Amino acid sequence: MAGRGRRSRVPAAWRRTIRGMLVLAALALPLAASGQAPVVADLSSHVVAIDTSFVGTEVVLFGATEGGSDIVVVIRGPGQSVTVRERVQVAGIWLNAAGLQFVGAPTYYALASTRPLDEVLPPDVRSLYQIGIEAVAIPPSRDSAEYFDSATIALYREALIREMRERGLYRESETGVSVLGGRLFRTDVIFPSDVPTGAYFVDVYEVRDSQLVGAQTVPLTVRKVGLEAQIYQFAHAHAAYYGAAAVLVAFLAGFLPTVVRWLR
Amino acid sequence: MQIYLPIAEMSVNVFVLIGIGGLIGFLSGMFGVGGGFLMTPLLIFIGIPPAVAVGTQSNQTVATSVAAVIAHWRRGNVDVPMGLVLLAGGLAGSGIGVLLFRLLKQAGQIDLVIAFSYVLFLGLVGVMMGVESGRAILRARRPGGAQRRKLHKHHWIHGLPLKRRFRRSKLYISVFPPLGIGFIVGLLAAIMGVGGGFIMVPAMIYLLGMPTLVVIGTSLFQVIFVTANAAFLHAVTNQTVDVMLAALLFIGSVTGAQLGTRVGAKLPGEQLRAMLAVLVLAVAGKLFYDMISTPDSMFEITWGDV
Repeated sequence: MAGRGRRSRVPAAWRRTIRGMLVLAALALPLAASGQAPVVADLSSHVVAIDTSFVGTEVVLFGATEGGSDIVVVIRGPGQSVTVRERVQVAGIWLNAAGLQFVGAPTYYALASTRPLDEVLPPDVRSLYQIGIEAVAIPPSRDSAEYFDSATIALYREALIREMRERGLYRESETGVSVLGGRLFRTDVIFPSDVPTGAYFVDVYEVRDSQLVGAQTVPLTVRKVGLEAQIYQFAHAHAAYYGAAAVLVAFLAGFLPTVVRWLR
Repeated sequence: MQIYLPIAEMSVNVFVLIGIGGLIGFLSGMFGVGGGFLMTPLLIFIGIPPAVAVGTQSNQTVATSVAAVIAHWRRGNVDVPMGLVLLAGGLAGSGIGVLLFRLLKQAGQIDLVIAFSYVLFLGLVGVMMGVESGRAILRARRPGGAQRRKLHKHHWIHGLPLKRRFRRSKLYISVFPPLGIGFIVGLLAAIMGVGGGFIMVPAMIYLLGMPTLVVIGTSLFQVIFVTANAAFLHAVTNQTVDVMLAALLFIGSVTGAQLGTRVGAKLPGEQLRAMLAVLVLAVAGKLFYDMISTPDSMFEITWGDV
């Protein structure tokens, strides 16, 4: 848990941006040919600020199309390595078996669409653009790939997805995007209280006749602000000073009851 | 009212935290133990990551021990030389304990080791205390009333070299037994995130033969330094000390302790110890049940590089 969101965000962000540009470039040609205006979308806020009173939040994504198409929205949190361990029973006691490490797994993934994804996009397009959590590449680490067979890796991957769905950090809503007057669309993106910090990307895809005809990427940042940010920053950047300060404050706090008694 | 904890990275109800602090403070004031052995399982129960519960609990125990030791210091119940010998062992123990904690965390077994240590030590202490207090209650009821016990018994521990006089404790013994006790308690303090009072107190009474009042004062005195060391090392190596969480727990526990002390003063000692034994065994039983019952999920997910 500690250290989540501490990794440098730049490389992942760049990779995502480049991918987003490639998607756009790939779509530019058919779009220009059809002479249609591209999908436009934006968020009600580009920053999710975690302060002391943070209990989770919603961000509204809204946009417009020419009409007659489906909209698929994918929100992806920063990638991070994650270890999945199976619980096994040894002599009646449950303990953790050897861990399988995945690299670059999304710490948050949400998908919303106007209709069920199966009806909107064929599997090959979904896997090409990694739309839907099942299509997202979550490769095992080199060590884990050598140690575990592919069937086990697939099983552990399913377990990871299942667990993250239960925690509300992987979410899908097949009717989450609502369309107003055939052209305006909106969806509420839900972030639970334990949402990971870092750089997020919101991809908006426009689909017509099982084909992607438009796409837009909107950046979003989730970060701690104010006291939360300062404490977290202090604890990780200057661990020794933080530890000393925490102990000193606790030591002095121990005198509080005595002081209160004197004052009375 | 919800509050977002910066290190635990989750949102928790403020009143739940103050309530937990208050409950533990009440019990610790009543029974004269730190209560950390109850607080860490409660924090884990409400969803705080075990590593954060342990690191934070160490930090919080510093504050509660200081508050408690001030009262004992005024009554002359702190044997400083004895406390320092225990401390020397304790610092070595907690240093190794934090390293062990890190290794176990990397191996992914830390939750099990924490739970297992709890079951083992809570079970042992609970049974010992239950038997002892049960006997005392029966003895008190028997016609003729309570017999006067010897100050302490002599066994092999008293034959060890490097003897030293501990005036407040009314003892003339080798420094090795307190060093050893300090070491073991320090080790457990680091791994379990407790002050170790619930192990230290019986060990000092039954193994060293120290007078009970001096035991509580001296144990609290050295617990301050052992937990301060453990909290510091947890902060440096694991970044698992949440000061926001520690502060809220402390507000509750300080208030609760004042009430607990008053209630405890009105109850007879044996019954108090019997009640504590039941409580300790109940916690041990619950933790043991969790270890053997089928978990909700067959997989455990740990984010980050290990």
